[in-house]
Amino acid sequence: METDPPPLTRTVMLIEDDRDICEIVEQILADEGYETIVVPNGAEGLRRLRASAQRPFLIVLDLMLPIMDAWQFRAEQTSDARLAGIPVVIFSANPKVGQHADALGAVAVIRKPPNLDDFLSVVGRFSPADDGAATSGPTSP
Amino acid sequence: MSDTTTAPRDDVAILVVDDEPKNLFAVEAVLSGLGGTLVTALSGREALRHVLNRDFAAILLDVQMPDLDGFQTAQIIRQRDRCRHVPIIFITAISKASEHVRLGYSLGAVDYVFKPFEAEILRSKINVFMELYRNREHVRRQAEQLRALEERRLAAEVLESVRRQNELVLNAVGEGICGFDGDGRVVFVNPAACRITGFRREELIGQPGHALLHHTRADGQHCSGEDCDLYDVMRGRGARAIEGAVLWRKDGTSVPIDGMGTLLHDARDLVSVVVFRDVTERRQIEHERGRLVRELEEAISARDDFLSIASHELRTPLTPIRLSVQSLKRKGQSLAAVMPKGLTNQLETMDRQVGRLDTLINELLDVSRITVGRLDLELSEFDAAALVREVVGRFQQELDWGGYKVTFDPGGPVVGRWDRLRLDQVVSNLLSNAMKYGGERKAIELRVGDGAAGIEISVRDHGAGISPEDQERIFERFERLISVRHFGGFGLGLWIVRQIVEAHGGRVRVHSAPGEGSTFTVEVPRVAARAGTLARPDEPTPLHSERVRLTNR
Repeated sequence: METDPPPLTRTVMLIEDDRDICEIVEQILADEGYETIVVPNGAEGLRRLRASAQRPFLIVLDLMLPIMDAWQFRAEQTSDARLAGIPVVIFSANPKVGQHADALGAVAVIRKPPNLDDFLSVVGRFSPADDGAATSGPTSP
Repeated sequence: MSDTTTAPRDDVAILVVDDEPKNLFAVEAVLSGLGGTLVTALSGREALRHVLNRDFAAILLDVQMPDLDGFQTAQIIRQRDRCRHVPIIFITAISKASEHVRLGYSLGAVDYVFKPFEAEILRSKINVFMELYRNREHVRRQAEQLRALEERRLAAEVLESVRRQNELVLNAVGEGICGFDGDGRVVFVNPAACRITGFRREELIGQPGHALLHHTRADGQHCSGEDCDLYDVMRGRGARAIEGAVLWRKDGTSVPIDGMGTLLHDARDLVSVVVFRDVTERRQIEHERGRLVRELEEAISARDDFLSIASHELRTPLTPIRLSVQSLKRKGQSLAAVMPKGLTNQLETMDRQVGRLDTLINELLDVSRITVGRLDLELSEFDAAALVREVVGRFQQELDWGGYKVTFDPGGPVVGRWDRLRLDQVVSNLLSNAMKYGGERKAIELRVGDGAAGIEISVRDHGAGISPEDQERIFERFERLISVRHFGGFGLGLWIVRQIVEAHGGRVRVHSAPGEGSTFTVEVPRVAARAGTLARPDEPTPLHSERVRLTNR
C-alpha cells in the first residue's frame, strides 16, 4: 500500500451491485494507484457524494441497480449543481449500452466484460494527470 | 293492251296467246266462268314477258302468229326452268291439224284445241289444268307448312338444349347466383344460393331479396336497407363488388359472403345478378393465420428478450473473471522470473477462453439483431489499416501458437467512416476463419487498400480452398465448411461478416478453388452508405450474382 494517501482527485466512484465485480475493480484501480469508493446502488452513491468532501474525478455506473438505477441516479446527479459536473462512464453488459449511455449523457462506455487495458485506458483518460502520481504499474506488496 | 282480267282474282292464272283480238275475246268468254285469272297476250314476245313474271296453270298458244309463231314461243318457254313443266295447249286450225299436231307434241304440247273450238271442250280442258295446278299448289303449300313446322320443332329443341345447358352450368357452379327484378325481388336462384342461404328455391322466388337475406354490413352494423350497396345492386342501381357482407340463413344463423353484383341491361324482368360465395372457411383461415402470425411474433420477441437477458447474465460473471485473469497476467509478466511457466500458460488459456465465450455471446445476440433488421451502426472516423493491425495484434499469440505467418503491409492509413466494433468483428471473423481452414501451409496474407467502390480488405489463406458449390452456402446462417466434429462455433462467422458488410453498403466475395486456398474480400464505401439499415436476410444480395459468376469460371 501507498504510504501517502492519494490526493482526492485520484478517486473513482464505482456504482455496481455485483460484489465480485466491485472487488476486482477496486483491486485493479488500487494497483494503478487510484482510490475507489464502491457503492451498491445509486441512492447510496448520491448519499456518499453529498456527505463527503471527497469528490471523485469519475463515476463508473452500472445500468441495472437495485433501489436507484442509473436513470434515477443521473436525474438526481444532473439536478444537483455540485455533482452535475462529475463525468459518468456507463459500465454494463446491456446489449444496447451505447444507446442508453447516449441518453444518459455519459462521457464513455465500458462494455462488460472489458479488457483490463481498455478499462484502465478509459479511466486514465479522465484522470487528472497533475502530480505525476498516475504512473501505472502495480504497487509493491 | 294485255294483262286483262276477266275472272274474280284467284291464285290460278291462265295465259292465252293469240294475234287476233277477237279470238282472245272468244276464249275469254268461254273461260270466264272458271274462276282464276286470265292473262292475254297478242304476240309470242308479249307472252314471254308474262311467263317471266308469274306462274301459269296452263298456256293456250295460237300456232299461227306473225313474228314468233306458237311453236317458237313454246320452244323458248320450255328453255326456262320455271316454265319447263307448264302445260301448253296449242290452238290451231282444223285444216292444219295433221302437220301441226306432230310438231306440237314434239315441242312438249300436252293438248290441242282446234279452231273453231267448242266452248265446252275448251272449258273442261282448261278446268282440268286449273284443278291440277290448284292441287299441286295445295300440296306444295302443305309441304312448306310441314317444313316450317319441322323448323320450329328443331328451333324449340335447340332452345331447350341451350336452356338445359345453362341450367346445368348454374347448378354446377359453387357460387350462389341470384337474379333480381327492378323491385329487388328474387327472379331466380341456383342450388348453390339455396345451399348457402338455407332457403328452398320456392321460398326465395318472388321475395324481397334484401329484407330476407341481408343481415350485417361489412362494418358489423345491422343493415336496414337504407344506403346499402347490396340493396342498390339488387334493385339494379349499380354494379358493385360486395365484400364482408353477412347474410341471414333460414335457420337464423348468419353466413359471411364475398361477391359481385352485375347489372343486366337487355333482360326484361331481370335487372341484376349477384354472384356470391360463402367465405366462412376463408375467414376462419385468415383468423387462424392472424393468430399464428401474432404467436410467431410473440415467440420471436420472447426469443430476442431472452437472448438479450441471457447475454447480459452471461457477460456479468465474465467481467470479474476477465479482469482478474488479465490483472494476474499483468502481475505475472512483471514477476516473470519467479512465476512458474505453467501458471502463465494457464492464465493465457483462461483469458483466451473468456474471449471465446464473449465472442459466442455476441454472435448469439447478433443473430437476433440481424434477423429483426436491427443492426445499428455507430459510425466514427478511423484508420482501417490500424484496425487490421490491432486485430492481428490481438490474434498474435494464437497465430504464433498455431505456427501461422501473417503478412500485412498496409502501405499507409486508409481512413473512412464505419462502425469500428463491427469492422473489427469482420476482420476478426475472417482472420479466425483463415486460421481454421488455413491447412498445412500456414501463411495468411492481409491487405487493406483502395477498391473500386471504396476500400477493400482481403484475407488470403493457402488451405484446401472452397468448391464452387460450397462458396454458395458459406455465407448462410449456421453453415460451416467442415462438419461440426472438426470445428466448433455456431457457424455464424461469415454470415455475420456479410450482414455487417451489407449494412455498411458494401459486399463480400470469395475467390477460391479447391487446393488453391481462399481469398475473402470485403468491399465497403469510404463512408458507410446504409448506416443502421439492413437488407432482409432472405432478400437476394449482390453477392449472389457474384457467387454465380464465380461458379461459372
